[in-house]
Amino acid sequence: MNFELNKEQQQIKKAAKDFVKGEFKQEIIHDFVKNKAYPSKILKKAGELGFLGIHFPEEYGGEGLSPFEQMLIAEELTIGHSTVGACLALSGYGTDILLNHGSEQQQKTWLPKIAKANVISSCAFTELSLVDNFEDYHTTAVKDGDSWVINGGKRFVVNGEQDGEPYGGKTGFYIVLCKTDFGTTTPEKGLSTILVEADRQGVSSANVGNMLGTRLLPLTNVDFNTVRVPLKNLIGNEHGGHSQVVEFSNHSRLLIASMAVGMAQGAFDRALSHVKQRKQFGQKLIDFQVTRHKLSEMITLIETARLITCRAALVCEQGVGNAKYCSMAKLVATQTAIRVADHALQLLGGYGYMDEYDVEGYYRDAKMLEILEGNNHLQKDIIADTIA
Amino acid sequence: MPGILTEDFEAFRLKIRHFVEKELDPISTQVEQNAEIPEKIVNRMRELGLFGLSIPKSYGGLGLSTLQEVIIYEEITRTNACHRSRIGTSNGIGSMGILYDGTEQQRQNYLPRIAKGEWTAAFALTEPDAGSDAANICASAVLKNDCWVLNGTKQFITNADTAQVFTTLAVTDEIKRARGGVTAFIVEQGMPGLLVGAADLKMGLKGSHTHEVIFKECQVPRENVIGGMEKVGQGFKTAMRVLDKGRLSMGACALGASQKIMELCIQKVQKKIAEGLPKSQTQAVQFDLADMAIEIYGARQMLYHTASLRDSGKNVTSEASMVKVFCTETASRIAERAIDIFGMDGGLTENQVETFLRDVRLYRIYEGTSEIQRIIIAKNLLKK
Repeated sequence: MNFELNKEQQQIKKAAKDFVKGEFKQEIIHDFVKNKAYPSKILKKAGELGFLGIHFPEEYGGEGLSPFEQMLIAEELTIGHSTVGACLALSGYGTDILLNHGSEQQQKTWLPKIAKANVISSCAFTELSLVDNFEDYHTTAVKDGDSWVINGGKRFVVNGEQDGEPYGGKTGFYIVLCKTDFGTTTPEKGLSTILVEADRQGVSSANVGNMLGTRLLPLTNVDFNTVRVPLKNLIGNEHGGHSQVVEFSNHSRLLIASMAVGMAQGAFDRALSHVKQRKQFGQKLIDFQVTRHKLSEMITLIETARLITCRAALVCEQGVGNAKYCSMAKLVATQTAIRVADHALQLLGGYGYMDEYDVEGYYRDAKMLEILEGNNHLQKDIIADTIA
Repeated sequence: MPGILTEDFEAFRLKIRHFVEKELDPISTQVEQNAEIPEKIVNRMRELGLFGLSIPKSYGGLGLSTLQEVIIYEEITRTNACHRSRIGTSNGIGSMGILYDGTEQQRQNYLPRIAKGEWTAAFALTEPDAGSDAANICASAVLKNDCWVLNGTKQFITNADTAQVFTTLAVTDEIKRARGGVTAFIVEQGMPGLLVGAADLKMGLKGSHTHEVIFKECQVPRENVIGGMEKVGQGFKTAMRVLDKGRLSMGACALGASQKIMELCIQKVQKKIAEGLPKSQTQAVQFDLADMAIEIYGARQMLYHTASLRDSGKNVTSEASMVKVFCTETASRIAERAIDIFGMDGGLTENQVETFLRDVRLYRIYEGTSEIQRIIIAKNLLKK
């Protein structure tokens, strides 16, 4: 067992840290947050410097590295700032489905654009209402000549196109999960993923409304009204959508886990610097035993979460049985991020509750990560299925 | 409902519950988004006597007992928390100093106006370098001719924008400080040298504003020392007494929020089941609900018991601290679990639990952090 990063990984981590230090200027970020503006300029820079799509093949604008290196970058980004970091780490949301199942043409068209941050990508998976029975699955794609005709609607679409927002992220495409087989009663057999370019006629997207956290991350409801796309926009096998989405969710949970580790670390760093300076009762807060023990608990939790997240990333690299570890990593890391951010907020006291000290945002954003890609009850269901 | 409560009080409680359900709750998302309570609603609060819950009848208030007051707080926090905050300082930290230690003339001058809601009272103690360590305040007051001249900066002062009267603390003897050198003053809006800064941007309680309050050569009449000139130097005691009582109120706010959050979760789970989710798939959530109910039940017993003890004249300093910690930490736990139960919907502001999560977080910080409460409890336990 080796717990050390190799030389290349160390360099990547350091480069990401330097990038954050150089580009995440507090006044610029506070401006983004105040105006609820997508951090396009920082994202563009991240693309130019090669931090996005690092696990894409080199001919498509990546570095040909593994998800493990992608995790290292995501962690540094959310240490830098929880919300801006989350926007950057999730800018290519769903593109892994193209990477793993897309045609050469689809990959060639889109992967370089994602890696360079010309566009951001989006998944439209969640149905408008609870689907108890597959017969009621609302979003459908029907073949008509040389086209798919898509009708339906999705909610909580990450990176959906935003209307009228200042400097909104430019959505390139949606990967839409559609019912394509009407003879079956199971989603495993009846769903397909189809790439829908965001500028297709009949696609409309609207913000879901005010959210608890990650407020700069576009989150929309998307309506597909008789949207026509060429048959070649099908991704992978027809009726193979369900397994693609399950596989993607594992990867996405791992990414979220590493973002959560970063958020925990970012909140910890801010609390540490506060307690080193702040004096009450004639001594620095860090000199109180209770503070020191609190910090010890926090850093121990973070290290534990980081370890299980690394473990999940390594298992993913080998491509076996990753559902269990990805869900475990997400469970532990998001809970850690919430607890650590909550402690950090408390250590800052009244200042912790104020926007300008960032820590309150870490708490809200950490809680958002917990409910993205399935809440903890769902993660436990998944883990239980793998051990029964 | 404890037996000592009268029918009259029960009628009042129901009136407040009705007000909260019919008038406050329907606008709670609007209040959140506009970060403001409509004046029309504040007028309704005035009519209902909500600004004078704890002020004695002889000074124009409702003269509720501690137990009655916490029960009303529990009712009014079953919606957006800023409504309670609007009346909170007038019922508590802003006015109690005047009631406990003020001269008869001060009481008659201020309390009836506060009780009617004509004047809002605020409490200005916290400073940039004096949070938990309240004894470390820097604001100073010097007697020149017939005026006290105040200098200093207070921060995070709730309702500073609407307050006509501030209870504030300043150092009058740099050597004695908290041991006889801090004095409590009544400062009125409009006195020269009193400045209120811009509203703070904060995580929650968006409709209730906190501000920096600056005293710049602020001239306060000589007689505005709380309790008169013989109480010069006694202000720290007044402040601690005021905060002592506020702890039960904070516990009540957290409990009211917890109860409402649980009810929202129950509705959500019932809706999921009605929509076809098999009960077997909601077992974990059922346990979550049970845990909420257990904690709320425990919190309520602590709160009511301690309030009753206080009404019977017992010293409840330790117990009030226990209530504040338990109720406010319970509220955070319950709000966090509620978001899980709602899933992504829980993250949406329009679903209320989101706002509750952000709002209840403040209860663990202001009017004495959880850490300060634990210090108080431990000190009493180890006292010989």
